[in-house]
Amino acid sequence: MNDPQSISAEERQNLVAYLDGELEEEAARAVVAKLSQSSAYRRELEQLQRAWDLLDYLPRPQAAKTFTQQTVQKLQTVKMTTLLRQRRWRWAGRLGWAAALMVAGIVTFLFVYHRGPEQPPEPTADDLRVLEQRDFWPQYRRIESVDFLRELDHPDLFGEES
Amino acid sequence: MAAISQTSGQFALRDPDIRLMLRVRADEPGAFEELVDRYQHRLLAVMHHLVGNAEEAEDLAQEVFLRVYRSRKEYHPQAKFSTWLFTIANNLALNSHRRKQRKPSVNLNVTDSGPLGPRPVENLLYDRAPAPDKRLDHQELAGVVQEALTHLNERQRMAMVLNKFEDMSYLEIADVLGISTKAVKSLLSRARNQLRELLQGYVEMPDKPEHELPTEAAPPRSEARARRSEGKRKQLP
Repeated sequence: MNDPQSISAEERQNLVAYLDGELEEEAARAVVAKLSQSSAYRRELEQLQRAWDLLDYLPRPQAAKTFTQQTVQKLQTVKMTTLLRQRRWRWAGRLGWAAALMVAGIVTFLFVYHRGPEQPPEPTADDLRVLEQRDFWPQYRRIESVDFLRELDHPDLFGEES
Repeated sequence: MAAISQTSGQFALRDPDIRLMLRVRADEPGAFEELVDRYQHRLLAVMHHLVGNAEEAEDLAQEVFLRVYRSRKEYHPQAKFSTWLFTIANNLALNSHRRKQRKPSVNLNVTDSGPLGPRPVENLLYDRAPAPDKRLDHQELAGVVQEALTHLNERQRMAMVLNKFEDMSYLEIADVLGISTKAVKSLLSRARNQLRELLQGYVEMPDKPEHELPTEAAPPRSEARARRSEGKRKQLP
């Protein structure tokens, strides 16, 4: 019997797997062979098994008879809380939309109010040429609207009576 | 891996728990209560071994069931229902552990605190004699083992508890923990070795005669596990 000084990590893994019935056939055979040769190996296996068996001393607590009822009640509470939270979020969402619309309305009103009357467009190059040719420049300076001048120029308004 | 690749229909036909969970998913009245009834003791026991505190274990077990309910619409039967359930349980236990680490509670037990005396686990390590069966009754030994369990890390503890009390295979534990079966093998080996070291004073026994030692391929194991792995072992000489 040539016992090793210590069991390697791999050997121990195989021993534990052997105890758990998880070793493949070939590896299990190797463990059995080693067990028959090495007392240190057998000792390791016994100690591992005894430590494992000590777990049987742990208490096996049973759930109280009311456990299911309590769990279902807790579930109802959670459901209720979730529902209330969802409703709160829904209302918060609606309020948010209303507030956003209100702010948008106020902003639009303020923008329009402070902008004042619409500015006439700048005269184009053609318009300027016409203004200079007809000596309308002084009128334009006062009126600042080429379109209005054109309307004034209509024969029906200030044309000579026949 | 073959079990995982089977169709959900086959699983549903075989596993009554999956059928029940599918009824919960379909919002069938009374199905959730039935599910809690069926799994409460097993889940509570696992949680108790994980956290070592009855009250916290009960809260966590309830939270697991609530999470099962919340996730019911996303449930698709791919493996045993218990694997799914204990995956949720594992995640919750890990979260709870992390929360506790962030907000550690102050331990007022003078024998457990400070550098002046050995911690309980150190007492376990140094206390090699006399024979434990003469000194400790069942309840005290349970306390010692529970204390030893707290010195394993979360994954080791979960793997051990599932292996021992749920009789889960390495493949199922791998599914629950989200790791490979090879990693489970290594994890359980380290866990059991650590447990052996922590409980050294209680595993040291006089050597048995040679004829009582295991000399064949059938290892000592629980009835259920023995039945499950019978297929593998019966091929051995």
